[in-house]
Amino acid sequence: MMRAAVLLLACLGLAAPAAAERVVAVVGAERIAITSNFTGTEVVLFGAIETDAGAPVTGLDHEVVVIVRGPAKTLVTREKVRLFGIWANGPERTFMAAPSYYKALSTAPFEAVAPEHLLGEHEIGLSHLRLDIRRPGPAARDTGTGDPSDPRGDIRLRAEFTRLMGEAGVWREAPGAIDRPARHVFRARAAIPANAPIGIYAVRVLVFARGELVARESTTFEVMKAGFEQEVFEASRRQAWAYGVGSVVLALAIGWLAGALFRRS
Amino acid sequence: MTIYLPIAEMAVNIALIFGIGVVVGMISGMFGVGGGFLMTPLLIFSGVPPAVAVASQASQIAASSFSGALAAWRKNLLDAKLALVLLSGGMVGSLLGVWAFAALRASGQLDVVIALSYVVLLGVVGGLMLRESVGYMLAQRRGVTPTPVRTAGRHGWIARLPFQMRFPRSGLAISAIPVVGLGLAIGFVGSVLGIGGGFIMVPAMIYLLRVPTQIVVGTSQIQMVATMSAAAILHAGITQSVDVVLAVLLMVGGAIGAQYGAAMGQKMKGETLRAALALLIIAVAGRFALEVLVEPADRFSVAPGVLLP
Repeated sequence: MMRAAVLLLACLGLAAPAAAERVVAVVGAERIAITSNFTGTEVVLFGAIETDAGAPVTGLDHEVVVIVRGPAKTLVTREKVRLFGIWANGPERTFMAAPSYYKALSTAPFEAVAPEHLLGEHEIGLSHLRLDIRRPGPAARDTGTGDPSDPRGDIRLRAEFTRLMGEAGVWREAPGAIDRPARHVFRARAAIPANAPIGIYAVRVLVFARGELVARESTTFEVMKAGFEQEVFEASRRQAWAYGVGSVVLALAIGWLAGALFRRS
Repeated sequence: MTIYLPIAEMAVNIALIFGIGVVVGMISGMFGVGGGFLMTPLLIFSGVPPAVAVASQASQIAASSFSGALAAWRKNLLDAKLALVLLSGGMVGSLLGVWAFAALRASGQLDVVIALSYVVLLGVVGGLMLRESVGYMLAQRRGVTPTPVRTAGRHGWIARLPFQMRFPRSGLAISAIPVVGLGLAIGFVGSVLGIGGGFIMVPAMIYLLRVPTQIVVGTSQIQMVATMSAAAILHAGITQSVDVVLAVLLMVGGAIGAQYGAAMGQKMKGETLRAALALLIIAVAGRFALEVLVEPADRFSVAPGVLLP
């Protein structure tokens, strides 16, 4: 599948006209450090579309799409249902290796940029995101949806999952949000919220013209914990037991100290 | 001013967390309880994930109990042998509790189980305490001298079970079964709910085991230090949700609050104090009851996923 796609792209590249375009892109910050007072930031990506000869493109038909994806994480969405008068978690779906962060930005509405099959192939837009949805809980927990088009309730839970990720500020699609200071130059901004997941973020820049992909570029940036926060987090994962013993020793030391101060006063 | 909690992976208001520490410390100093039953809910209601609140709380209780236990040790007001036997049950209870906690978290029912357990446990304990203290106050008003709590030498069938043991410091000769069982139950409940269990342990030791009142608090504190230390280490190793930054903030706040609380507690009458604590416990139970009874504003939630094998 993958190989076929690569082959197809290679053929398309060969078939492209001699005056092919290329795109260059740079991110404003390659590293975003989460420190104790981090409240969110913004990553700005600058890019330019050129001809192979290095001259700026002059045509008016180039549209740009930027997709930013955070590290893949397995997440669960649960729905609370009333059970014997108590609100408890009922139906649930696990989203295997879903992007923990996803932003789709473009210079024009997605439908105007590329045909449907290309939007699907490149996962442009929340509705085109490919998600591996599993049902981990017992099927008995699922209350029937009564909807013939969505008998298992996968579509409904996917919609709610998408909504919650949007509300958390980590999933967003913003058609038309890329601005173009000049015809061949573009600038895309992606907000990184305070709760942004840690890891490598992949940025893909796709240039479409006449309904075809004419140029692409990819780059990355990293969101990382810095300094003390980083060390604490690493220790809690890599040396979990030693971290536990350390936290207890610290607790007993503080308890002893508090007791000693108490007696004086 | 906010501070980033590295394990909870969230930014919290430093004054809010510190304030929770101070307020709970005051209450714990005033009533002579650990205050975990109040601290964990307050953290959960402030948006800290329940897993992190419960696990971090364990090390905070270890710290505050250690202060108290040291003081009791110096005054020779604790029964080390009794504490050790309680502890043998407590360790097993903590281990089972952390396992149950991890399994519940994976199944998605942790929040509901925590909420329901709080409602039942706090509702029952608070209700019993309120009835006892109000009854005492009414009896006093009528001029009747209330019957003393402890009737020396009168033990029920529970104490006459096999494996008889002597506890010279407490002047007791009872079966080891209820002692180990009590330790086990409180260790289990403590590591699932993030409470030290002092508010259950103290009455259980007085009424069930008939331990002399003045020895009860120190003994319960020393066993709480050990059980909660074990719970914290197990949580760090198994659920990896001990946030040391959060725990230290709470410990420091708690230590400061406890000083003022103890001074205030000495000025109040015992029964007034017990009635006030009972009302507080019932209020927390009520808040949890609302949580599970009222339709949530958003019925859907997202959490890190773990696929059970």
